[in-house]
Amino acid sequence: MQRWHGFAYFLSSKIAVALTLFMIVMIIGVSGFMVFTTHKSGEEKEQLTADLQNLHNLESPTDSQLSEINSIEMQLDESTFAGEVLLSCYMTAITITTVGFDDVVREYAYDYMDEKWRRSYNLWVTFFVIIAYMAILYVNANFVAYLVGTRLAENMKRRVILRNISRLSNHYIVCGCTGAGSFVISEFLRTGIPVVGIGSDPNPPHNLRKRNGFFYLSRDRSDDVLFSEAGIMKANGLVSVVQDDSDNLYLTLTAHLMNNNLKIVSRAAGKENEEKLALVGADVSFTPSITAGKKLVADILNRETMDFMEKMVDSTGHNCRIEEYTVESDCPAAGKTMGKINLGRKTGAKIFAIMKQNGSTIYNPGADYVLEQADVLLTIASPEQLKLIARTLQRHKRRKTQ
Amino acid sequence: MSTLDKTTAFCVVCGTGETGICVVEELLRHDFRISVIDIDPDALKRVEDLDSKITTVQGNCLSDSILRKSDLINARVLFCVLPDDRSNVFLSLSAKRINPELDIYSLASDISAERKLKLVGTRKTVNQDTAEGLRISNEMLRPNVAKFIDGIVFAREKTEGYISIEIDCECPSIGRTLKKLELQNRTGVVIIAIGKSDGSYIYSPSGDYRLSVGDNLLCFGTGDDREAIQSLLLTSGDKKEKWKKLRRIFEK
Repeated sequence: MQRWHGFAYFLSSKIAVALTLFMIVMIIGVSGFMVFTTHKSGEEKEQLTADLQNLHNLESPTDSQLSEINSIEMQLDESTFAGEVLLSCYMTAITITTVGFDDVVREYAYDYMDEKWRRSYNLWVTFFVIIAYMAILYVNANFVAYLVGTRLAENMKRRVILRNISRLSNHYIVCGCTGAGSFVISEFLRTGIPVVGIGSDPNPPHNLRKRNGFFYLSRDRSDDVLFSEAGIMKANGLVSVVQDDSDNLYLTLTAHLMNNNLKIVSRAAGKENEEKLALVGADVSFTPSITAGKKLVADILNRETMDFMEKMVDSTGHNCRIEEYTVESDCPAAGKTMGKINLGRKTGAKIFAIMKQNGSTIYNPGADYVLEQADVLLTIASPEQLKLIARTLQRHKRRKTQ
Repeated sequence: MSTLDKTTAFCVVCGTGETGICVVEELLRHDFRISVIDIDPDALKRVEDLDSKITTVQGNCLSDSILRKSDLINARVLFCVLPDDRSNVFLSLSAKRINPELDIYSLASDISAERKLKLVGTRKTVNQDTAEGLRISNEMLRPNVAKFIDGIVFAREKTEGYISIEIDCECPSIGRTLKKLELQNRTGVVIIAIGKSDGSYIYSPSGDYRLSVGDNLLCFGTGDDREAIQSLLLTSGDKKEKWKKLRRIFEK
């Protein structure tokens, strides 16, 4: 559909008009030159062929005779219909593009013309050159306008991006790529999760431009189209941190309607807007100023802890972080003791706490702790180790069935 | 230095925007004495409605006389939550001159502002965008970790949760590896990190790590765990000597 849309746009544009104009000019030029170039009559041709035969029959042709053979062959070649058309095309082209005119024309046509013919020829050439010049101006201008107007290069780029996005799954969509948005994106990318960013700027933000796994779409079409282009059906979550609050609400609603299972985090400007966003389908909504305020206070409440936590969770320098792994309902490791699973030895990650479903926390689970469904393992691990944990817990089943 | 005495600690909050109100609410919940400065009397009235104990000062907090009026000289902590960076920097500087021992916490809108605030003597700066972004990514990728940390940081009692044990120079376990100490096997506690004396951290230390003076063992657990670790650290040296004695006896 979209390709045809592009084609229709092309037809309705001025460039189509310009192309027809160009064709008309070409036709006028070619036919004009066809008329005015000297045609050779049948007798002349026969004469030439006879001359050529004679020259060929010579046993030892001199240099001048060889060049004569060449010129006769050329004249014969040009006197065929195809040769004449080609020649007039060539004449038209050099006339239109103002590459050259006088010398060539003199050689081929002008010198052999009658007085009467020359006059009409001059008139025709004057008329034709002016027309051709204006037509070429028109075509050039419109061609440039077409390139700029339809942003051909950008469309191509977008198509490549869309193809890449269509291959993604379990990715995250971030609306609003400045400020907090760009921070979120780089945070996701560091964990190795692909992100589709949507922003109002036609170009992706500078600091994220060349990052692996980041795809940028500018907000120049309707939100529904944009979201489906961003692969919302296969996405894991959506973050909406656009400046305007009502815009956030609308984006949240649109996303929620398109994909019910999407996890949506949305920004609210005030406490009262958080509820509205929750109504519309945001799983988590929060006010940035309150987040900042809490963070300010947290430091004096529990200074030491905060200092460590901050480094643990925020810092960019090291790979290990506090991570979590939720035991799913069908996880084969559920019901086994920690000692049997032996995560520590297999993955190198240390599990320091388990959050139960009822909200209580068990610190430092011992070897006799029985893992249950929906337990959340809190561990200190790198992203690779986290993957390893998931694999280890899933692997238990296979061994058991074997 | 690490823990503030809440009854005597006196906090001044400059600015009553949304962040300022949030700061005040959070401080109230932990029974701090608070004084609030703002130029807008309506906003101050809103703050007064929160709690009658709050003292309010109406005026431009960029002038020294107003800062003195709010008893900043006796304050321990100042929160700069003014809407623009320039005022925050100015306020930090003038407050530091009135009371050099003050701990200043400030809002900053970008990295360059944070650097300037640090230069002026601010203890900690919070960038709203960064805080927000971090919150979002945590909410998306590890929602329970965020909950866990919030629970520990904002807990009213400190009986359980975060444990930090410093190794002083008399501790007999200095110079031994973690593997030899067998902390995990004997107490069940997982050491998640070791804070070095120069402020850096070693995360998830391996068994070959050798304890040295000034190290902080960081872990999570209950009060019992703390005692268990401490006793282990103290006795481990004795045990080694015991072994030596035993070996000597055995050789004899």
